[in-house]
Amino acid sequence: MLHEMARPVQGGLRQEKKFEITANNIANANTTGFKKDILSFGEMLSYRMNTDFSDGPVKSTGNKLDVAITGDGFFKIQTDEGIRYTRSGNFTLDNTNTLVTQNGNPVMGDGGPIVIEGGDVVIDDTGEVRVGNTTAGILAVVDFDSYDNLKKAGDTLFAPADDAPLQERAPERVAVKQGALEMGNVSSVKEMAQLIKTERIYQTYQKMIHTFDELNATAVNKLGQFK
Amino acid sequence: MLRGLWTAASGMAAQQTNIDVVSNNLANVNTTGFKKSRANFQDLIYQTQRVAGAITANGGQHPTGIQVGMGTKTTSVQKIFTQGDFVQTGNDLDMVIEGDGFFRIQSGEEDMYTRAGNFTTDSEGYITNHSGDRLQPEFSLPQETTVVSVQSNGQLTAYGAGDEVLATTQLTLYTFANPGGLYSAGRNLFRPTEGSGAAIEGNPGTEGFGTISNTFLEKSNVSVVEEMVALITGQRAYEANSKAVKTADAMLDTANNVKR
Repeated sequence: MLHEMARPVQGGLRQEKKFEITANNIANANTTGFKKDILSFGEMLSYRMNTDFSDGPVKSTGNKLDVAITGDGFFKIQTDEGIRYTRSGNFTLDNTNTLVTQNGNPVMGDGGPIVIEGGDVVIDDTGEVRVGNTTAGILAVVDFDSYDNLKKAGDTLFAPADDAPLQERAPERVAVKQGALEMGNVSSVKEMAQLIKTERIYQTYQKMIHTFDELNATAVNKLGQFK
Repeated sequence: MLRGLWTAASGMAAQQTNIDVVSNNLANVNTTGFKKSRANFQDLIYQTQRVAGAITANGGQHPTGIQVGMGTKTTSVQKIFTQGDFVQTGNDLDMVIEGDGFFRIQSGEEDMYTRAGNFTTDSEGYITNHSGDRLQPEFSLPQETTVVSVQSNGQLTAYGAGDEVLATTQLTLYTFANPGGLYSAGRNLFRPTEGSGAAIEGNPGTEGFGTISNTFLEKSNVSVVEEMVALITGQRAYEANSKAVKTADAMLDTANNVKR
């Protein structure tokens, strides 16, 4: 008689998971280069999570070391744990004039980290970084056949899912935009609607538990009366 | 369940920092030589609940994993060193740097750097900022100076009443590998740090250094419209996160009422 209870309880737990993911999307609404997660449910309590890699809105900042990728691809970042990928282009220089992320990890160019000496930096559509007439390097922008093997590593970085190096390829359409940043692709309206939906479904499961409880109460109290 | 609550709380804290930074930018919209700041955000660590490629109960493979994010954090509050607007003042000791570079100021025993060129003189004729800190290298204007001219290469000349040259000096500028790493000490002054690198001295107009003009001032690089928009988006994002907190609360309430 108690196994009916298992389903609404499982359902409620799934909604809790959904809520956690929605809360994380909302918390990162203003995080540059953030990609939202979507949790979808299938039959028989199965569920899968996908990261939505669609482009976020591009915001113009006028800062010379802000770069946005419009189109496909990721920047390559050298970290202590290995190569990571990111869409967040709010770069800066460190005290050795190397182009780094806000965490101080070098941004990879075609021939390793990019060193920028001098003030007047121009980054063109193809990612070529020029200071005056000299080329300091070309920003490495790489893409993958499938994003399934990317996992989020925090700090707006993506890492290979099983720590094996990924097969990189040149993006099909790429344009690097200097003086702009790609914002998160989170839509507040959709996430708010999701919050409401999650809350209501969660309440529905609670009602189901109550209904089963009442049925059980009836069974226990009435059937035993033999009148 | 409570995890989502903390996730939303991290979002609220981040947006609060955002609003603090924007408010400071707006407060300094008319501060000479002020450089605006920007709060940068990143997502926090992810808790992996199922890895991609894991084997399912009936022998298949999960194509995607499940990773639940823990919210957001402020990575840095970055100074944006874009050029501010110039305004003509007609005052001989107002100077602007067009391009990269800072003036060096001796504040107490310490070398500080500034973009604010609203200089004046102290009782001994030395060029100082409005806090009385002397511009480096020190230079004293002769008493009978009537006009001061500064060439773009930093050559400062003091003229007397009859256009005769009384004194000249060379103004120098300083740049940093990473100006974003400078420590804002208040009073428009910046202090070098490990992150910014040591100051590099050079003459105005040479490679990598801006030029100087006098009778102008550099206003702040704060755009009121941009900051207003940032204020609105920051406030709305704060609200959205507070809704998530409320939802978490309502769900906890529902859970608590499963048992009547």
